[in-house]
Amino acid sequence: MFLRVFTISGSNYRISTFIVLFLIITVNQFELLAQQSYDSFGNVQNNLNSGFRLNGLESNSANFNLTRDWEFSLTLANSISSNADGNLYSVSLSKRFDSQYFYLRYTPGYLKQFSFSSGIVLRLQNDVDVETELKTNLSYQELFGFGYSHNFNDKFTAGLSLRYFTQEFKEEQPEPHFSDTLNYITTNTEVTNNNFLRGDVGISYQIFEQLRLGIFSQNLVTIEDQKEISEYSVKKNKGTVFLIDYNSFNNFSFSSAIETNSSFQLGINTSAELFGGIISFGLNMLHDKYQDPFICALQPAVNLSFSPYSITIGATKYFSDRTSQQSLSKFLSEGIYNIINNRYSIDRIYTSLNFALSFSPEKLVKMNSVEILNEIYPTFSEEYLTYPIAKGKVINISDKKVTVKPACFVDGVTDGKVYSPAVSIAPHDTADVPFFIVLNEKAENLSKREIAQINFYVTTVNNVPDDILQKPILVNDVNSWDGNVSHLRYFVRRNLRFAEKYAKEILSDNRLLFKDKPETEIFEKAKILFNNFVKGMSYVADPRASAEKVQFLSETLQLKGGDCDDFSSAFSSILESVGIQTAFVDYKAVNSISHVNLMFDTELSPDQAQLITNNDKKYFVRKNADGKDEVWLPIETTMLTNFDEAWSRGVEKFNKEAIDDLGLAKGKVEIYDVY
Amino acid sequence: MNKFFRNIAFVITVVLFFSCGKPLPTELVNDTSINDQGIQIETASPEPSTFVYSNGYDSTGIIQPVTDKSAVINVSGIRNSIGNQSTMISNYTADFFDKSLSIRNSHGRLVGYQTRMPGTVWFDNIPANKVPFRMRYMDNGIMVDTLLGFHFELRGSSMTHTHGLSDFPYDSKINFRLGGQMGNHVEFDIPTPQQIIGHLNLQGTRAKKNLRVEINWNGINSGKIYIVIGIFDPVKRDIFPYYKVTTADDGSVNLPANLFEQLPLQNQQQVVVTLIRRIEIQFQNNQLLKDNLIVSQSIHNIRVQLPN
Repeated sequence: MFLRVFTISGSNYRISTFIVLFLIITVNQFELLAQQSYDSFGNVQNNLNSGFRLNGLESNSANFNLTRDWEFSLTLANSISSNADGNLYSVSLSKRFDSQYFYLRYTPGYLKQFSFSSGIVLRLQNDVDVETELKTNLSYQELFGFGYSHNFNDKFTAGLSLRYFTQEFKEEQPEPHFSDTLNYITTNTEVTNNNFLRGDVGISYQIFEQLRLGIFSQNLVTIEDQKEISEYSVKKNKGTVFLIDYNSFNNFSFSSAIETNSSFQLGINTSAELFGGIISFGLNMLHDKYQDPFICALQPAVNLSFSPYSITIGATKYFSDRTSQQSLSKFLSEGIYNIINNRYSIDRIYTSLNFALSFSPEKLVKMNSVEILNEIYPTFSEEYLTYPIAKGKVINISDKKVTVKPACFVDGVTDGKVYSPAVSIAPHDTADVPFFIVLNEKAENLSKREIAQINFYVTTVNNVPDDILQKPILVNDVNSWDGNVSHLRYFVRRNLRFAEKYAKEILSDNRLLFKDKPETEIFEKAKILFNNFVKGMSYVADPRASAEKVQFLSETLQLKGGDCDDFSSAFSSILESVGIQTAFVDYKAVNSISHVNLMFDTELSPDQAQLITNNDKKYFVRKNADGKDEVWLPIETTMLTNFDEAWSRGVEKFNKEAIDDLGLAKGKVEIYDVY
Repeated sequence: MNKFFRNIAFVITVVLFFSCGKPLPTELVNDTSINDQGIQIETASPEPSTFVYSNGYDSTGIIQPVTDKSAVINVSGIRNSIGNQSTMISNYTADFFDKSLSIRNSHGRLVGYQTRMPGTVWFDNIPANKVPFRMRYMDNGIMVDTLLGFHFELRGSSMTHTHGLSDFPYDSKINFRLGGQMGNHVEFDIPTPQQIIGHLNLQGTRAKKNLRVEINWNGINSGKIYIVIGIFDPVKRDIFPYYKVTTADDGSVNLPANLFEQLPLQNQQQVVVTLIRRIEIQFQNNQLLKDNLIVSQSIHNIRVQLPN
């Protein structure tokens, strides 16, 4: 019934029936079972790293896997004891065909053996002390596993697994021999085999991008090859396991498996890029109803994936004493529920080597091209929070709508990948995808220009990119400027603390000059600050054949010189630091000569303008944020004599180029508020 | 694809090279309530071509055909059970051997000693009878019946009430007195064990090879008990012992099924399980009683038909 419903895809009704039937069966099986979802590598495997083997049947009964090609996996195990007993633990081969995934494994290391004395001693010959103790040896092994899963869509996966277990119980028995001349007893070994096949089903559903839920059965179907089940046989109580996987955006993953007898495991994992590969760390803790203490084991694991290889080293550390002799009566009364994780399991180290044609999931999108919109200017770091550094053309090559997560990384400039907002693309459609960056502290203070490589990633299903593109990009130094006057505001904002100290010292020394003039206080302050600022200053143009440079206020004061952009941004810093609004006036290039100066807000209304001048052509009226007209004064910051002359010259240039020549109207003159 | 499989072959080779070990099995300590003291099993009749191990249905439990002692005093309370019916027998014997007069078979193998009569024996003030003491042994396939001399014997049965000895004094004592011909005598008390009463729990059948035999008795943790497993021949009315089991007196034992399954049972033959709780003492050597073994026993013979 299950299989019939299961194999008919495309029918929502049938799928719903399947889920309901599954839930009815599993919910009705609230019997005891031990921590059967135990996996040698804990819950570390996750979507953060597709090279990290995803295909254990224990913790992934739904058999969900993104690997699109052949994958081969080998695992070795070593017990942590004085005896070196490394062994081949498992070998697996898997392949995905479109939405169908097949998995086959051979697990010679899934083995547990017990030995105990029957308590019987045979005297083999009378009168001579030749004695032998009868032994019993129990061997449990999971030999083969087969998994199949079907991805109904990008959210829902259902799968089944079949696992073949062998059990061999060897009991030494007395073997009497009777004849006319001699009676004696020897030993004989009786072998009982109790092999069985176990079948389970599971489903996995992605609630949203970060959250995946799973539910799978334990011992749903067991087929024994013998009618009589030995008392030593592994317990096969039915149960249900619930899985919750949460992947956060910052490469952290949390996973848990909760069994119906309250056994559970919790895992935390993280992944990072390393030398072009991916390194993952994980830590899993186990609570097993049948093991002590409450948290009976920890499972650390680390995985390094360099396509086409992936190496995983994991360990299981139990907290109860496994070295002392164990009780036979307890074993007989309680048995074991899991071959590789039970109260008799010992600490082990696992080494897994995966080899795949490709660990990458199926590509759903392709990056056609990327256009870098600007060079990187460290001082404009705020700008990059709002405007992308590049724009890519991404094609959806699949038959379904996908959501693309763009990201980019510049070595030495960004701290890891910087993710941009996700973009949805219709099947076979192309979309413009923006790439944003966030500069790190080192880059924000770069003193030397350099060429860096910028890596662009587009990712769809998991954290393994569908496509990667690399381009060179110029990373400028901290004084570099792209010539865009509106960007001078970033030079102003970065030096405000220094400017505040500088301005307050000057105003404190000259407070009498504006003490009794509340209406014109801003005007007076600006005047005092300008006159002090220009003392000893001289105009020095930028060096020829170099990129545009802008000095910060501290540098201008130290160098006692600069050009128009240096003086304008420096004096803007001074005024803004004491709460005086400023704006840059950009006189666009005429005959390749462009110019910038400053205007500031006196906060006087046009009616109050007479308090500072009777000439109505010496100011400019602008609306403030409340829509109220206020008087702004243009200042020519390169006029390094005094405020009045700088004002006059500023007004003169503004009136001519911005007003009389219709510069503002024609776009040849533009005003950029600093805030 | 070829490269893929070449890589796999390489990896397998490397891994197999480093992974030739196997996890050691976990040793479990046998602390089960049954068999926890250890059971010793041996054949009870190792040399049927030399010795005759059958000693009548009313087994005294002493299987060893040749004793190395000069004097053996044996007091036994014997319970014979067939189904729900039981009879009680008391058997008191005193054997005095002249170790200078050995009896050997034609191959020179020592099979016994002739007896001597050092005086008169009393058990609880009842004089023991002097009766002929015969022994049998095998010589070249022929059973030889020989008279060793006389020994002292008292025998009582719940059926006959002979000498008033039907009630064996379990968990008590029996007075023994040996009066010498020279007027000297030896007298002491022989402690007796608590009566052993057992029963068998049989499951399965021999034919299906799933026979389970659990032997239970009133265990008192007195030390060890002995279990003799033999076959009762209804024609000869004789028991031939096959196994001797030594185990703790803890009340229960599970014996391997094939011990029973492989018994050479023939038509109408039954299995007899004999439980023996025994006290052995040695009296201080003196002129009358040298090199002695004094045994008091409670014996329970249980005769059953094994399920086929």
